[in-house]
Amino acid sequence: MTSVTESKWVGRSIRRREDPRLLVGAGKYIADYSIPGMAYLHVVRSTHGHARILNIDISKAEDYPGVVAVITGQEVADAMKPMLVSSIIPNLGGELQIPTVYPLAIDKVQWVGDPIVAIIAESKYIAEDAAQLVEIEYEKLPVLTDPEEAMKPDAPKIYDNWKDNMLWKGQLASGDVDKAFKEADYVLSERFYGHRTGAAPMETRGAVASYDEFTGLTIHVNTQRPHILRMAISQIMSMPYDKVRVIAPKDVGGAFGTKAPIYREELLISYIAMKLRRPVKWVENRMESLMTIGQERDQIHYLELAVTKEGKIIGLRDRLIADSGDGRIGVYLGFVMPWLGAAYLSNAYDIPNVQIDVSCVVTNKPSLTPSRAFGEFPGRFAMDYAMHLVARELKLDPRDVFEKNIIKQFPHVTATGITHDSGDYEGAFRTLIEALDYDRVRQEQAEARKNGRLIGVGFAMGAEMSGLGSQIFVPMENQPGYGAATVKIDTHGMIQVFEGDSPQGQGHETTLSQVVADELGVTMDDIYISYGDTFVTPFASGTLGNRGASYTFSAAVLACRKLRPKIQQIAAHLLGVESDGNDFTFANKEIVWKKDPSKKIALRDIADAAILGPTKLPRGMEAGLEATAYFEADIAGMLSIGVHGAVVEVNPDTGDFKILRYVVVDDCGVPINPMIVRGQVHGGVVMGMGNARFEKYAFDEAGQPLSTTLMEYHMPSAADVPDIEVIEYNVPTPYTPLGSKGKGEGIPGPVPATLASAITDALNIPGFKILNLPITPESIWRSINEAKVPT
Amino acid sequence: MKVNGTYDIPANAITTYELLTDPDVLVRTMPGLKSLKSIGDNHYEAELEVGISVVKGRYKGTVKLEDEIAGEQFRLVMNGQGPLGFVEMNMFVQLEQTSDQQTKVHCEGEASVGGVVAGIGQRMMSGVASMLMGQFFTAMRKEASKAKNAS
Repeated sequence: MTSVTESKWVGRSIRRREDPRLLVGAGKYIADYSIPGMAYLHVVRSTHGHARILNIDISKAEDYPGVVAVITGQEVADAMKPMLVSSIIPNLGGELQIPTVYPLAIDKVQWVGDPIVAIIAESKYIAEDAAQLVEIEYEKLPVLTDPEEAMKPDAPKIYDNWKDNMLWKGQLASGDVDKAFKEADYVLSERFYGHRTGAAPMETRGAVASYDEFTGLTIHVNTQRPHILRMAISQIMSMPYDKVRVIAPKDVGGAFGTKAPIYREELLISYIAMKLRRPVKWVENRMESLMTIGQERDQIHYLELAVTKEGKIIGLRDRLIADSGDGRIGVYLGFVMPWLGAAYLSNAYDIPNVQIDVSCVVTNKPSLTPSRAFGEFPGRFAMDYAMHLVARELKLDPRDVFEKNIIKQFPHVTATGITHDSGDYEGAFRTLIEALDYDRVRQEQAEARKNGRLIGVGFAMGAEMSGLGSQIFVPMENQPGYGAATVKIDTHGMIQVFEGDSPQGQGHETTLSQVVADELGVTMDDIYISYGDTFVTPFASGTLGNRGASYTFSAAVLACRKLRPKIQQIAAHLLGVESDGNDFTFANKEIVWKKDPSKKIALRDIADAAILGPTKLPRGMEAGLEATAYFEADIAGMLSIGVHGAVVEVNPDTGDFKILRYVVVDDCGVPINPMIVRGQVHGGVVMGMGNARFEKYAFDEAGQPLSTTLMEYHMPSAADVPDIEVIEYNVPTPYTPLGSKGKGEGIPGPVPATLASAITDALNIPGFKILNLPITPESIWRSINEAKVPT
Repeated sequence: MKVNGTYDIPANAITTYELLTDPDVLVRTMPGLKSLKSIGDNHYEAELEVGISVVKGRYKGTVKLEDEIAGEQFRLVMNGQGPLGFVEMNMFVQLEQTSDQQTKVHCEGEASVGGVVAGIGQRMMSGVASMLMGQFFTAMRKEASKAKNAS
């Protein structure tokens, strides 16, 4: 794969180092972990959307051969604090009502799937069979599935001790909004709805926990944030911090945000391992997964834009209502996503006067869990599609409306307090317009119309978070935003890198190696990456929110740069030359004196001196070659732009449409591995198309989930998506050592507005608009027919 | 889920009413109903098995008759709980005798199913419900013919 070369590693499309083991089936996922003597956990879950538990009869299940233990809610609750301890509660101002939650339901269930009883047995099959013998008697309570109904003053309350069903209520505002609306030439006012959808990772959640009284609890769990989970378990279960070790597996089969919260099952299995003094394994099945995690979006936006006749948006008003579900997950509580969605609502546009009122309402559904394009998917749809509607109303070219409003000067702080660090949004937008051959598409559109074919062009933007600095992350999630990494040169001159985050398929073993190889003048084969084990890696918040290439990798760069002077001092000493500690180059695994390149020494020899033969070191120098660095950008936040464009053809008789072209212009600062960046963009667009067109976490009026198999929850396959053209338009950020930014998180965001605007353009029917997701042939057909009815 | 339908029974209203409210007849005719045991006035303990293809739910619960006026109407209230979830039905049944040997049975009700059966089978649920109703009344018509022949 690699050869000794002086060429840089960063910027090259190196094949992923992870893939050989994954392709031959040798990846080690959570389900591959087993410990001798291990028992299996199965969770009995509520079949009711909202009910009181009158009685639980576990006697038959307890007597079933092979059952080790059957555990109910009160016992678990007695062993720990309520799960939502202050360190995993966000601190975003506004009005927050905090639900009391323990791993298992005690006297009431709030959604279909709410865990009630834990069965532990000698095998998974016995546990599942015994689960059918548990008899639970319920008294049904009124079920709330509509957040607007749940907000009404006379609505039944989901939490008896709350004053209403409002989980969190707050406002993001700045500028003189009333004045903007008074001065506007035109006000657009629409209700947009982005349905409940998000992610469904191939690997479901899972954990293997073990406990002994000397070393304490060890839990292998496919979490995105092992350090935060360790902290939470220690605090909730009042266990000394040194007695809690969380280890995330090397291989995780996707997460997309769903494995970032602190979940009830993680505390449950920890308690069971401790109680039984026996290792316990739990792997969620597909049905449990589809009824518990990955459910995000689910926002209503009453959006108003105040616009001048030239198309400049001078004010934005929005009433955002989010269906938070039960809100009982640690770190996010089902409201952080809509909050951030509100904060990012104005997207890549310079809108001085903004007022967004956010209401996050509890309903009898599972809590919203984070999902790629965190909180912003419905808002991106509403905002960018609304700009197309504005253009139509004002008889302007949407291209001009976008250009007029795009942020042009950096850094830029939006009215909601989001910092745009750097970039060239306008240039990226123009690149898309060129790539679409916009003017020619318009001509072709006119030609095609003559032949009865309806072709349309649409576009949307996404200014996506690229990691969040501590200035936002501390209040948002009570966690640091910094990236953390340790770089350690071993006795053989190989380099071990420890990162505090824990990837789930992003390819850190490849990209982090590329970064470190350049810094220390070695090849990728000289580097090995360790992550996931909280007993050896530096503290960090986890792999989420596009942090890798912006924060974590920058920390690794800084750690290398901390080591370089010491390496040079040792080199100078061993070579017997004078050095100021900065006059060597690092290349070909050697340290070469710039003044006389014949004076050089292998990194391995330096490591040998520093670690195995410290007598060779300069007098007084500390042995060892390792450094840890924490990187915090000198700016509140970094964002990166993606501009999406599509050409579609619509059949007005059926509402079906075909995507003729899909183009993405993408900026990630400096791509560390362009192939991986393209992969992220492709995957993100496909996810956006799935969310916008096919995927829906549906419920009936009794709160019964209707999408508990992958047949109902239809994720796109290759046949469902068009070719995706990706154009790099990279502007290095001055705020990271390499100019790199993260890429992955926000990519689905611009998809729905891109498709909706292209479809609307193709149909060219006055009054036709797409206000609800998902966009299906049926919804288009209905909108066509509504628009045709004269009002 | 709404469960509605009108069915013809070849018997007069009184006989039809008796057939529809006779626990022995119901066990014979209602698809999935395994047993009915009286636990009070018009109140029965029931065992049911309802499902769609491979997913079959076994339920234990109660069946109650309410608002009953012999030969005219009654309300059937069923509740069942089982390891895979629950079934509930509340159906108002009105009888309209159209001739000596013919009665129209108007059914109007709500049924709900929860748990695994609901999650997996929801797309087919209302189709299955009307199929089951169809089977029930076909069996009931046979019972009516039997009753006529016996009399």
